[in-house]
Amino acid sequence: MIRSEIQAFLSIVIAVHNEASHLEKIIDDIEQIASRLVSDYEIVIVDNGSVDETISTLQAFTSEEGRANLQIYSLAGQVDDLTASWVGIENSIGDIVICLSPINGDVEHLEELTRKAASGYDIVFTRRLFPGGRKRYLTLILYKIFGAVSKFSTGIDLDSYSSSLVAISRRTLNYLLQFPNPQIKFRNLPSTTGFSRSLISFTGNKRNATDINLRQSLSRGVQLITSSTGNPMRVATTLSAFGAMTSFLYSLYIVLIWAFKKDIAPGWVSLSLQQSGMFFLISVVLLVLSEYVLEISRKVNSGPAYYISNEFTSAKLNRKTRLNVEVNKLIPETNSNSLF
Amino acid sequence: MASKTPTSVAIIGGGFYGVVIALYLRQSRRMESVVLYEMEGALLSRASYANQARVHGGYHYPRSYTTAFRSRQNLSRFCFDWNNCIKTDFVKYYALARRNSKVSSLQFERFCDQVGAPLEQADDGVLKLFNSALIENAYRVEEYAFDALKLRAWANIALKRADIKIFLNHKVLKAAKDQDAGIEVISSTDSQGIIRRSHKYVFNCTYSGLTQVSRDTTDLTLNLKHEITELALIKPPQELEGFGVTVMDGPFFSTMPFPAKNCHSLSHVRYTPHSQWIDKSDKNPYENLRNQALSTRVDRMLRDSSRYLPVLAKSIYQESLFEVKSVLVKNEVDDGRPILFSESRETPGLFSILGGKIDNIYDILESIEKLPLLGSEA
Repeated sequence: MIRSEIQAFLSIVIAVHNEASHLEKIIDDIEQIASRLVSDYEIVIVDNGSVDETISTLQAFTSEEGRANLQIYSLAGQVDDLTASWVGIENSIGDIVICLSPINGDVEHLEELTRKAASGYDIVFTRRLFPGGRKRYLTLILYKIFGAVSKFSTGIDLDSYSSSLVAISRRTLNYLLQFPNPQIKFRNLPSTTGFSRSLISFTGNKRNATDINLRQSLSRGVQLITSSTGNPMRVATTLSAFGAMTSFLYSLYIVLIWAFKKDIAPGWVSLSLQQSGMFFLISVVLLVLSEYVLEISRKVNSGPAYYISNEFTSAKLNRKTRLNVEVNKLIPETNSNSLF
Repeated sequence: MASKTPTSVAIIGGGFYGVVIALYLRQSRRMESVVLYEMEGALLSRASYANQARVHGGYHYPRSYTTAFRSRQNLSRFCFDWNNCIKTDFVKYYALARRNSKVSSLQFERFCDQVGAPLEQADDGVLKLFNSALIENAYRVEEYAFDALKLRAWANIALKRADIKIFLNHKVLKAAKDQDAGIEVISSTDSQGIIRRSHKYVFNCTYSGLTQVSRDTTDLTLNLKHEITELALIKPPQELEGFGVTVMDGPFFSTMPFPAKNCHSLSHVRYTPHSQWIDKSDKNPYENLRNQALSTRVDRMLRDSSRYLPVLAKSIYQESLFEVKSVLVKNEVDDGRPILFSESRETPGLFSILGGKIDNIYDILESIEKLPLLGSEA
């Protein structure tokens, strides 16, 4: 047997939905690359609620006369792409797990991605560049706004990498598994800083790119922000605190007016006091409530208290160089503080 | 070469079932003479040897109540009858997977309660060994392992004492009616060539080779499915010494002591079966096994198993035992392992026996007990 180039077990995860006719080619392409590149591999295919012959085709592939190294999971109902990919990632057994979507033409980047990951990176991101522009202007503007908001509130530059084509190491995967919602954490991968990371950029093909509709991406974005940061909520609590304070100041102002000003329209004082008083109360209630909501969301989304992604130890240890010999007291210590 | 010794009973297959049935017929039923044919050079060297060595306690079959209940009953009898050949100095745990499991831990508790199988919540130290994200719960159970080599030693002595003739290295080619009322068994040997002997009764205990011996086309119950299985033998990490772990109930794994080699066996529902086929009398399962170039899948087994039980990643692989495993086709769905006991229609007096587990031997003996014919023989 020819010794394969990379000594690693590679898991390739694909989520498919109604793609019976393409499956054969997809598997062929991956097989061709993987079998020559790595010592062992598995292709994990997650059937995301297909209604065509996808399932029966996949089942036929796993028979004795079928294809090697396939692992199929069929989901009971359709879920979003990211969750479907996550099913495959979570159940994979490889040293390197590569998640890709063949209809985007990702297979051609498999080799590059594998090499990069095998060279010691825990996470390899990819970025697709669309020289001719990919989205329509309105959508593009909305994406830019969302990107700016999310960057401001979470510190993550969402636009910079593709979630559908990424390679992660088993170590990274084990880390993600510590979270109650690992698939969200997976989407949020750029915020994990303890792992060695790399980025591959390539020119995307506009024709191949899938269009995610606006509503879907909006809900995904909102979910991502709410689950990864409390910053927007912090804005809300600050606003309530500010509202409560100004309402209180306004009441004081009304009282002062009533005390020192002679010609006030009848009823103005009580009406204004009532209004500002109510605003004060409502703002205080909102403030307290949002503090509690923040605390709850923090608890729900929190993973383990900590996770050590790497550890390093000094190559030189002092105790090893120190001799285990009693120093004769007659020899004057060279390192004494005395000047003489 | 042909000989016509009026031997009354022949047992084909010197596995555990063949040996015990031979002894039973000789000692309890007082059959005049009993002979045993074995194709290998030693008794108990095929499926009786290359398996998980599990003496079932019923826990394994939460979806087949009958099998589980019988297992439970047989366990104590088996442990009593073969107490010298059983390893009991280890603790067995059954863990239930959170996802993809066909039973939940509550169902499992209820099931064990009904079958009367003792179950105890595993303590925290053991639970910590498992990945809690994937394992719902773990239980300490009463289940043991048998030592196939000790069983072999016992079989040799017991057969000699009972004056049962053993024909080792005799591969039975055919068993069919002869001109008289007897059954002719044709066997082939390397040293003596083809040998023909006639017997009054023949018990075919060849497990995977059942249809190789008797090509009874009218017998529809003999509907077998074969599978080449890999049992990996590993040296477990220190934490798992003296432990056995089975993860239920789906595409998971099992690791437990393998006394014959003083190590642990590891099997994985997903990776243990290498290939499978429906039985055809013209396709010899043993030859099929021999002709296949099999490479171990222990790497995958360990990778997937250590997701559930991380310390397992530290095990050291030793070797793999490849063997043919055979089941009745109808029992694939519920995982139950009922035994097969049927008399050939073409050749009366020829019985085919297929057992699933070693401790099911008592069910077989009960079935033989009900045969009236044999009693009139002596």
